Amino acid sequence: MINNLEVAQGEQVLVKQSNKLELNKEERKMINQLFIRQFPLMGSMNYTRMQGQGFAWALQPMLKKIYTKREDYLQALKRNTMFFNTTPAMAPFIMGLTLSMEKENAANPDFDESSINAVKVGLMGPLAGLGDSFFWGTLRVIAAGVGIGLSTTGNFLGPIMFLLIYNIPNLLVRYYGAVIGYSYGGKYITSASESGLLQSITKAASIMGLMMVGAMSASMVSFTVKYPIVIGGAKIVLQEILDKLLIGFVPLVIVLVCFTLLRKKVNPNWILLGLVAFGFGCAVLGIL
Amino acid sequence: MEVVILLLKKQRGGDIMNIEALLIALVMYFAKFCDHGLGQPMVERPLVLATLVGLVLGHPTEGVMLGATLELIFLGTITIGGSYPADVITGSILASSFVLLLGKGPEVAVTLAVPISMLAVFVYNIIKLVYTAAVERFDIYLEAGRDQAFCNLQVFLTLFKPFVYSVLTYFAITLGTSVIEAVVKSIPPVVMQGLGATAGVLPALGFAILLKTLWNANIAAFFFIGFALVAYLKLPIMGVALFAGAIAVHSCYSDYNLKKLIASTAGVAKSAAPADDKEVFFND
Amino acid sequence: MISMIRIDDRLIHGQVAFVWTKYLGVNRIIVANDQVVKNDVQKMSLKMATPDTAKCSILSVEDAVQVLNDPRAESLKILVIVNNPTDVRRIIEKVSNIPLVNVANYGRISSDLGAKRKLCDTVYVTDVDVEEFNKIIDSGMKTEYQVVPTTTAKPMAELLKK
Repeated sequence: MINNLEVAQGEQVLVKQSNKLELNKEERKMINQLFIRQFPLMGSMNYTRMQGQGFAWALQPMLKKIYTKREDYLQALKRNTMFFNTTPAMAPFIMGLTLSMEKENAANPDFDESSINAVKVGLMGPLAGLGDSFFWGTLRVIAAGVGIGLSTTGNFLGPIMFLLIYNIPNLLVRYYGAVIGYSYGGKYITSASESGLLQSITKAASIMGLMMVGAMSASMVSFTVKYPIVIGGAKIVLQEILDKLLIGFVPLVIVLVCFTLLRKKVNPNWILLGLVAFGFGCAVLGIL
Repeated sequence: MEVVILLLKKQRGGDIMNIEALLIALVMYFAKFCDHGLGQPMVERPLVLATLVGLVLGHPTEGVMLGATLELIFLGTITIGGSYPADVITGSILASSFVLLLGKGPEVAVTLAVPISMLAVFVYNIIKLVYTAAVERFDIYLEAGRDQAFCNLQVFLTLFKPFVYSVLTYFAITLGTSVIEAVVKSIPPVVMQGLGATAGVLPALGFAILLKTLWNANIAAFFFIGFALVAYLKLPIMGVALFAGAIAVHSCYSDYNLKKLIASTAGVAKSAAPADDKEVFFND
Repeated sequence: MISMIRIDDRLIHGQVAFVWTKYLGVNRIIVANDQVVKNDVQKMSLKMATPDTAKCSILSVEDAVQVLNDPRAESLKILVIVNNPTDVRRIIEKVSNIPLVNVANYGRISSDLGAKRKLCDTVYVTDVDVEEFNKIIDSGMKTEYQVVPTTTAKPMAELLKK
């Protein structure tokens, strides 16, 4: 619980009294309830507030408990419907942090209410940057790589592993995000970033992601003979020559060509059409 | 009620088609609910959805394999920050449904999924506009102090969106299957071959998109390591994952320990003068 | 050299961290904002959100101008992010060779949308904002609305005419 306000250079810094992650029974119950309610964050997704209503809905029962006066509760609820958008898995961290600030606000008449929204605005962006990169860009790729690899033969383990690999970290981040956000709040971000642990984790995850994409490029881009062609003899030799040069040469080249084009800011839709034309061309020529 | 049943029976395919359409509509509800109601747990991705469609239509194994194919095509399509470049859910569910109902191959699934996913975005945009209008309602409730009404509206909207898609899916399946069948039948075999070849190379674009986001000159080598492991050592994908995981964990530890080492040796200097963003901007 | 100045009220987030930095190939990000530069927690989280490939500096608008005018800035590829058009106008008055002002997300975070004019789904402006945008456009700056690089860019002047 945050129960100390230090005013430094006109800015409010929230400092936690103790450094341990202690939650009493009531707080545990609150976090558990928050964990359930944070799931439908995007339920009423819209253009003007985005996840705003979902955010307020998640916090609603706790706010009702925190604020004994009905007008304060309603005001808090309204305040929390402000524009909000971040990676869904990162939202619970901000929700926990918000709850601790709302608690402070209820207990302390001098607390600057506007700082609650200011913190939300300040955090939702960067956490989205982190969350999107990690969850969509890396974790999902790893999970999909394993999942797809197992699924190509019709193995049910494919979709199951896909869901497990993604959701174990997903659920852990959500639950402990709420716990840490509530207990540590802003201080956690400062210490985590200073230690550089997050960068190390991101780099490691990227390494894993790259290896998986490399592996998938070798096994899941099909460029071997599919249909028997008329010029039987000539085609078989071609595949052998390619293999002597570098196994999986053509898939690698295709991936790298697409990659280079994307880097040169070519519109992906053109590349898509190009691949379609390439595929058709090869089929017509009897190469594939 | 009897009129409705009569109308349903009149549709091509009769009762069996309707039950299957209903089941697929249920899969759609589940998928769309997971998307915004459960914060995107990846259930709403082609790999899982095609499997589910396969299960309800009685072709589980084909469903799984279709899921793999479609997931590869849509690997680079991501829906973050409320942006919806393509409706992967609708594309995957409808495409795999048509393919399994008509007994066609994966290249047909790919051919169907891509345009369907793009068209379905219109539906999403319309829904989002309606939901944006609902914001006013939310505000009105709060102004009047009706917090329970506020909560009810949130729940309602969460449960309603998937329902809209379910209804559309039901009609898409019951009315669309015969249309799709006719279209597919009219495709000449050469074109089919072309589609098959295309379906084989399209994943390359998805991989390239992912590469673009993950690429970093320092660690680029690992892409080629992963590639070589499969191309030459013929390692199964699970093996690569274990390999990759081990390397990643090791990298994390050594990177972090190195950072701690640097921090401790530079400790005195660092605490004396915190790095000024303006000064270090030009340092590498 | 400066790749572009972007107006985004969420500063560094998914679209920026994940998409734009890779697309532009920048190795430096400057967040120019007089309030954020005083907030340690926000500074830390912005730096955490910055991808590995770029170094992020959070500076006041004046400091940003100084850094951008430094001759050493020529050899770097810089993305400048601000959260309002006034800061853009302040910067372009003092820094030349900025090729593009990119408008992405602005105006939805404030609570009073009713008093603002909607230019498009992600941009809401007050009269003061319109003045600032006009000043920016009139100075000859290429000013475009484009949220992510895969959508087509629209000239800001078009949006303002509506």
